[in-house]
Amino acid sequence: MSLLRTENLSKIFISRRGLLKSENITALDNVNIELNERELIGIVGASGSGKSTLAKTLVFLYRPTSGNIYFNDKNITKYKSGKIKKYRKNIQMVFQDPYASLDPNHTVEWHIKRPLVLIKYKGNINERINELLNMVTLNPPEYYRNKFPHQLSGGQRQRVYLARTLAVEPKILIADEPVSMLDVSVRIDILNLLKMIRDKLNLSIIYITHDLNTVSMITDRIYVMHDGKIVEKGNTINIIKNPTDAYTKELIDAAPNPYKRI
Amino acid sequence: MNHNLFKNRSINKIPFKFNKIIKPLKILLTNNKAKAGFIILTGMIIFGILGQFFTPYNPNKYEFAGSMPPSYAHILGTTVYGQDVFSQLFYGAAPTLLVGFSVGIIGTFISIFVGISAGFASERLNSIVTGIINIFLIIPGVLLIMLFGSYFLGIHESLGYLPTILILVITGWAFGARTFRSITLSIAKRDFILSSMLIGESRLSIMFRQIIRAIFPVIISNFFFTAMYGTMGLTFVEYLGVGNLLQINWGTMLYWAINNEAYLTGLWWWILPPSFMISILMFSFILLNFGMDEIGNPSLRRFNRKKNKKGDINEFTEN
Repeated sequence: MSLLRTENLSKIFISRRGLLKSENITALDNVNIELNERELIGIVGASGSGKSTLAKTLVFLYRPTSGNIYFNDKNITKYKSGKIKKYRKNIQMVFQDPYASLDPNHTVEWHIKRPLVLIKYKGNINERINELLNMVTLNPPEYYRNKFPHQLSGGQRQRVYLARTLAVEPKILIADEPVSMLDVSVRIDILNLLKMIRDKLNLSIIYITHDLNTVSMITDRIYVMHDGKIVEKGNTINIIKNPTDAYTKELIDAAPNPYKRI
Repeated sequence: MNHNLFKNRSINKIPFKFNKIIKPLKILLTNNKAKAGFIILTGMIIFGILGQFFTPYNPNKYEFAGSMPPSYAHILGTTVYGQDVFSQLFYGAAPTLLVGFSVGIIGTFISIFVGISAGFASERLNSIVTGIINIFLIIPGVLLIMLFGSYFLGIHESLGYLPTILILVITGWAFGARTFRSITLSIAKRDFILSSMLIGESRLSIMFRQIIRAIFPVIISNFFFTAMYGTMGLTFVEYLGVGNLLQINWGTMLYWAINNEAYLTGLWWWILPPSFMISILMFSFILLNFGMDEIGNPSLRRFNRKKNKKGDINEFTEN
């Protein structure tokens, strides 16, 4: 039984050009993905291939044009605002840019306290905040609690954001290029953190990226996206070693390799 | 190892909150224009408050010889009717300021409410509210008040301060609402608002906790603009003679001075002081607005070189 599943999911954006002309942009074209419990899957594709649209559709920031989304084998495509709110307690998203995803006017403490208040956390909220900050390896927590986002580095911000999403206690975490804005040494830390979270908290994670190097490090299965379509899917190592689709081969060739010179 | 440090910090929590009011004020006052505006406005407010309690003479009584030039007894001379001009100027400051500020406050509140909810609501509601805002935007406020004023004159009642404030608010909120709507539209699409929606914040909570804080400098700036509109509106209405002419404020002073052709008979001490005070008040609003620009937009901030050398600059370069 799959935790989250999409069935022929499509999203068409209509962009208006002048008064009468309009152009349809197909961002997602019959996408079928499946996420099992405690699985870490990757979605790979170049920019503009529809990865982020897929992520935002899964958390209902966009409405799909056609197709269905199943959560625990229940069709949730037609959910309205109240039910969406309940559904979002199960699914959270980490944004690409840690410099934009934290409110510059609020402290770290506020960012983690709000979700705890909203899910009506039973225990001691104060202790829970420390616990979450410890979990994302921000030590000592007291040092970070009263800081504002602009006083933190990119990697620290992404950790704070991760703590904020984990405070909701979701079952699924969608990470939309969580490390693309960070430098290489910090990337590994965040990826280790993702893996640790999956192992400790039994979360399922959808890891979205354009970077084949990082995807092969942590994911179990990957989907390769091109122009809104899934062109290849399967076990990560198999795909990276024996790509069948032409586009996947291109992606693998384009991946940065320290031993290769142009 | 660092724990002692943090314990001390948590003890100092109350001054930290106090700091939140002081710090923006400090940034505001580093700018010379804003400092001048702040000092002038504070002076005006004190002048207005004192004027309610201590006037040299009764501002309403016709008890002196008319058209006396300035002297020690009458600093600004007397009117044609024999009233003391300085007493009138002193006493009339408070109503003028009060109308300006109440129009500013009420108008800004309405525009915050309408503008932000329009910018944050669904697309259809947004276009409806924008339509309403646009209609209000083209209503000429002063003309409307003249209309009301003549009606009130017709039924032998006078237009008090309250109806004047109401009409000025009704005609003055739309500009701010329009501004807030467009800013909210851009902020609502940023990641930190989307993130709050994902964790399940209600829209109302996002509006109050995040959007209003993000656009706070614009709100203050808009307040000064609306207050300016209110003061100008009041002066204009009274000057045109549609208000209650027995009330004393700078507008009615101008009305009587001009009706008695003070500028032709050489009574400059009657016509110049109120005009001067109104211009100074407007000027202080504009100066404060310049300072607000710099709070809201760090790239406009200019740094004091002397402070640079001392190393104080960190306080102002944070953003």
